[in-house]
Amino acid sequence: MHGTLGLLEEIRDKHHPDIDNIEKVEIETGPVAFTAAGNKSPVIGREIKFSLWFLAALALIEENVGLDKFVDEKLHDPRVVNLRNKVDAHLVDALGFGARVSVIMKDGTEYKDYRRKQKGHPENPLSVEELENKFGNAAKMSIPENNIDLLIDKIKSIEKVDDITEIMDLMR
Amino acid sequence: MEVTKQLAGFVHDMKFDDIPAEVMEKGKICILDCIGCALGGVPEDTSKVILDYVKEYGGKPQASIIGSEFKTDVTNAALANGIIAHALDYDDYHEETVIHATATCLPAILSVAEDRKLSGAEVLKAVISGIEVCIRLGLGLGRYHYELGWHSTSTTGRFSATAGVASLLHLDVDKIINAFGICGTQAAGVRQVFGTMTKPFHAGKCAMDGVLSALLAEKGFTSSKEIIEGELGLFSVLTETPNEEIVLQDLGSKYHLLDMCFKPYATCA
Repeated sequence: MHGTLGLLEEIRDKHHPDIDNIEKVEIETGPVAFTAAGNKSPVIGREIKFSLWFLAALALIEENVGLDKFVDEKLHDPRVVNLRNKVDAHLVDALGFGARVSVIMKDGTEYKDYRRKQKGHPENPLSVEELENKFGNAAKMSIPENNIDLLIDKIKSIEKVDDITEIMDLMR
Repeated sequence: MEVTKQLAGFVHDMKFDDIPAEVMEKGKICILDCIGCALGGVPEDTSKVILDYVKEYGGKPQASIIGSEFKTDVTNAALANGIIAHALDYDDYHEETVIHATATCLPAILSVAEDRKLSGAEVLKAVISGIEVCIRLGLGLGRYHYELGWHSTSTTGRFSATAGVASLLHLDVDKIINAFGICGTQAAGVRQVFGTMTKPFHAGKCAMDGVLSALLAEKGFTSSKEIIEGELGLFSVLTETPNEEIVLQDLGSKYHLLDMCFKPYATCA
């Protein structure tokens, strides 16, 4: 799933395809995406994360496929639903977590890309900055922002922490 | 091949100073990423339910619930924090086995480490040990195990938590074998529950069972010595394609933890 989303976001950012003029989105990816995100018809917003088809549509429409997109509003958004219905996904065992995607426009223009290793894999890793941004964006949901950098620093030098309570105390 | 005993020996013999630097650094990223995912998962309904539960039914205030001022007993803290850590499905995973390894062991390790006021170095070694054990078990169970419907995070995750807590407690090899036996017989979790609150429950239950198994073993509770390779053990029951060799291959010199992936999106991999 992550391979597919990464490729679609790159096509979105590089080519800015006009969503209303997309004829079809073709995806080939491995089995886990179909078992773990194989829900073709989510009923509630939070189930979007388990739907390859909705996630693909969101990757092309939205600026990011963040947590705030897994909501009923997006599930029933006519633009998302319309594009989701144009997503055609095929299982290719050999692709594993990698993906091959193709966005075909009504005028015949085709944007396509392929990547064997998904973003976040050791062969295509998240940078330290991306990892710390991910941490910060998630952590600010539940702890004061001024604890975030302290927590990152403590964990990065965890071997020097004498009592783990020092870290636990920053998680509230 | 004495798989259970060999894995127990690996956990027992691991020395902090012998862990390769790159493994150490990756282990820290696993901890950072998992804690971030947990903090992001705190507002989820799933997390609110489990916090309500431990507030009502939890025991002595031994360990913290992430994102809360509340403390509860170590097993329930592990349960709650495991659920919270996997609530967003944003935490790390191992591609080949599809195992979310850190969310099952870190909550267990933190609970016991906090209660016993242990060091960060002990926690880091325990996490590395836990992740390595469960990934190796996942490789041994093979893809058929997952395809059959088992949630490999859940079945192997109990071993990550047990190995991690056993490492913290410095259990001897016999006690670690017993702890594996206690946790292994609890190995469960099917993919039918994906999309519901019960998927993250799997991670929490692994953490909880890991704490319980290691603490019981510490007190002398006994179990099978061959929970993995025995005639009626996990490799006979949970898969048709067991591979004992791959579990033990280069044990202690090769670290599968280095293959852990970090998610840019909060979706199933």
